[in-house]
Amino acid sequence: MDNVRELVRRFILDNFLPGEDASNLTDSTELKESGILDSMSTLKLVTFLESQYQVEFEADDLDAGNLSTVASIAALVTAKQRG
Amino acid sequence: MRTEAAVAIRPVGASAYLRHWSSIGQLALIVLVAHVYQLEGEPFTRVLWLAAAGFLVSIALPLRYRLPLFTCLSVAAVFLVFGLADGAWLIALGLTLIAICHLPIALRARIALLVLVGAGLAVLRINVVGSPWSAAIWPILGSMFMFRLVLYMRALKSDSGERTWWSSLAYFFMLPNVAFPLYPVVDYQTFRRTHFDADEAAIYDQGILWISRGLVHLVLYRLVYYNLLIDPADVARLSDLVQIVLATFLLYLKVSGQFHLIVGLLHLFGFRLPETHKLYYLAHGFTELWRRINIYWTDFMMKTVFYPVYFRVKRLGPAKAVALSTAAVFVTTWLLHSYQWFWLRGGFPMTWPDALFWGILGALVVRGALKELGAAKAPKRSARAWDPRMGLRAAATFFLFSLLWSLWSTESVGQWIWMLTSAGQVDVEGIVLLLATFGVVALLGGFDWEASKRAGSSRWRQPWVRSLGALTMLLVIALPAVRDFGPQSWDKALASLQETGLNVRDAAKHHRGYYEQLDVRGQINAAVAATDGDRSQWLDAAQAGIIRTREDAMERDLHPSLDLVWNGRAFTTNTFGMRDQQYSLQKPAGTYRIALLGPSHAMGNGVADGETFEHLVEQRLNSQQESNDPRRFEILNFAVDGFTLPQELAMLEDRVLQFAPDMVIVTHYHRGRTMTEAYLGKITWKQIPVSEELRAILARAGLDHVDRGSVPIPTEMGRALAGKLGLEPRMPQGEFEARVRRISDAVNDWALERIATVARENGAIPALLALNAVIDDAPADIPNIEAIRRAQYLVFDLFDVFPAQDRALLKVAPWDEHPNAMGHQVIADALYTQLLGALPPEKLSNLTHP
Repeated sequence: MDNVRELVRRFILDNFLPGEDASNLTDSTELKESGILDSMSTLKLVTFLESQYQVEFEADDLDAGNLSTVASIAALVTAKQRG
Repeated sequence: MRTEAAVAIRPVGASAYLRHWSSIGQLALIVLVAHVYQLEGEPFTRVLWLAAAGFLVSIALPLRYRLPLFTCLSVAAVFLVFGLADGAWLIALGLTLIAICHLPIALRARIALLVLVGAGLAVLRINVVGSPWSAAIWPILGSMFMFRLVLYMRALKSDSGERTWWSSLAYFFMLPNVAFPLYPVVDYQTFRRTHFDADEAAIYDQGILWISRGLVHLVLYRLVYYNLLIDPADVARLSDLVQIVLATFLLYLKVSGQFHLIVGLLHLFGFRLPETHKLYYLAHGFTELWRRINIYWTDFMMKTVFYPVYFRVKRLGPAKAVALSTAAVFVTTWLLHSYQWFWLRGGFPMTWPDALFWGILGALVVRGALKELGAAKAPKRSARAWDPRMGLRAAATFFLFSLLWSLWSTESVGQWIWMLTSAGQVDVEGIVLLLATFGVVALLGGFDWEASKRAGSSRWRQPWVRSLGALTMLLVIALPAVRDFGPQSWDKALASLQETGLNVRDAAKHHRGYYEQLDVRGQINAAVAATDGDRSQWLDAAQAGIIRTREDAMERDLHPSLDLVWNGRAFTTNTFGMRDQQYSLQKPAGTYRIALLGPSHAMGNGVADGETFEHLVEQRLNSQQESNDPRRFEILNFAVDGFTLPQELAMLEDRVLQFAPDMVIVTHYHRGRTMTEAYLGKITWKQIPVSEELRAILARAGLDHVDRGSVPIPTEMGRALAGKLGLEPRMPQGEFEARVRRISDAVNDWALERIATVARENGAIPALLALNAVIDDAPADIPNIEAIRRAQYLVFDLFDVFPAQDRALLKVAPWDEHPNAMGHQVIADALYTQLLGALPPEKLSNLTHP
């Protein structure tokens, strides 16, 4: 789970927060409320996670609660991997 | 909901007050600001007091009691605003809908049942069958359930978390909702998930900040509404166009202000909901704007339309899937805005400006979304530096969206195109306004405010510092001493911040934009609710059958020899079609005869025959003469519902002169110009013959020959071209109204001068009665005053005769601003006094001033 968490964090920093101080993105940073994740970046993140971990997301998985922080995203991916 | 064990231990009881003294103090300031500015009407005042009292109780309670308290307060607010009977209906209907959601049957069956019950309620909403509750509860019932049921059912389907009746009731009857029909679409899962999920002091601070921000937005809205908004028909120069385009978009401050207030109030009870609007005037593109303006709606659409459609069609490839799902969002949004209109106002409008607005915006957002999808990475931004490219993008987005918003706010596409083409005169003021606004938005939009927020917060960015600053500023600018400090325009602008009625344009036309019209809180107070049932039975003059249409310049008059009851009052006309007793054509010897001309409030809409001010003054004049004195007074009431000055002139020439009046009184009032515009519309479209002089004025505005084909084409050039292409063009309504606007004052000037001339030529004194209906928003000056002076009218100035504090008592009904019997008595008293000074002394015997 830690690996997933780090990968998600890295992906967000590289793709949605270029130039941002990495320490500003913690596991509990509110991704949506702080404007980091919007509809398009969510789709990009989902596409990345699907290809990286061979899992498939559904519309209901994208509820704000599941994607609110790096930690919750990692938890969702881990749960998906477990089936 | 989280349990108490899951959150940090908080002080309860008296110690809570010490911990939250800052929030309590600021909440007191909020109540004071709302009172000083009379913000958002009586229902909000009640809800705010209830919320403030509830907050004081809530912070002292253990966590497990706070949600039940909030639910009880929410239910109490319903009764506080609607009273017992309607409140009970609202709660009962709501409980029925919630109970259906929980029936022990399949989900699909429950959804089908909800749709069925919704259809039944819709039938009642359109009044096909009468409902036992007041019409005033519809907007709130609709607001509570029209979208939230969708999110609630969705949560029931997918969510296995803890759920209680308290949370369900709190979600639907949410405390502030009863005062705000236009309400953010709060997500049920977020509502539950965020309840006291962080430090409560921080939640309260955030709530207070958002309430304060909401108050600032609402006060700024008044500044725009009362000082900047003009009528599209008045656009003649570039500065007018820039002003109206900016002002219509800035009016949205009301929605963002209300939503901040609502979510801020919810924070006071622990619901740490996200922000509803985020710097939407500084968005860097349409896609970003769509995400920042009404964020709850965007999220609702994401959940219910965008993601479901995307995952269904993603096999087509990312670009096609994004385009299709975004298009689906905008089609749904367009339809749901009409659906929202239905529950809040009744009716299901589908207009071209609506379709074009959502269509164009949808296309722009799709384009932006595809561009974002194609971009490898987000551009690198600095939190501190100003980026000129971003600044320019923000300014361009602001202007283009303002223009698009102005399309949505006009009554027709024709009116919008005409408005754009009318601004042919490029004035310096317009260029300065354009450049200044562009510069300000570019300057502010060049910074990345989100990045700056993430980078950390200084002491000055602390929520309590910002909210205290905003509240103090609002209180300071409300001080009379501050208003006296600057020039007159400053004083006027600051005074407008505390106004509550319609602005001059709306008062005259009773027209408002989409969100303005959805703000139906006027209906939602107990007084209106109590009488609303009578309103459906209320008949206007045409429905009552008293009006006869004519094909000459008078256009209408009263049926002669009527004897009927209209809205519960006796209404009779004599054989000459006057709303008056019978008079002889021949003036009796020794009689001083006054002819009264005017519109509905002079005719006496809403009062019985013996209650009109004309009758009261006549009776009083004669009652003070000695009984054997042959000198009598007659006031002949020639007023007709809907009459304008040109019609009063036509009546004078057609009928009044044969009665040989000694004085002719015409009535002029705040809606004189608007009514004349409507009259000019009728005579033009119906091709009614009018005098050469009036025809010449119409020709000045290009209205002597109006194309009457089937295809609306703006501008004469456009219609000429369309004619050559074999089409049958007609002038669009918006253009017609704008052309009429250009001459309506000239028509009234002409009618006033002509009436005075005709009266004098026939031995009568021309007099003018300046008299409004019982309204709050009358302009300060009598319209057409220069023409009145030129024509040397004797003026009876009753323009502001109804004392502000008594107006509610002097109206026929809450929805009808004609004066009632008491109102006519007020007019009669004032007119009698002024008339005495104007009557020839030899006609008076014992008459004295009252």
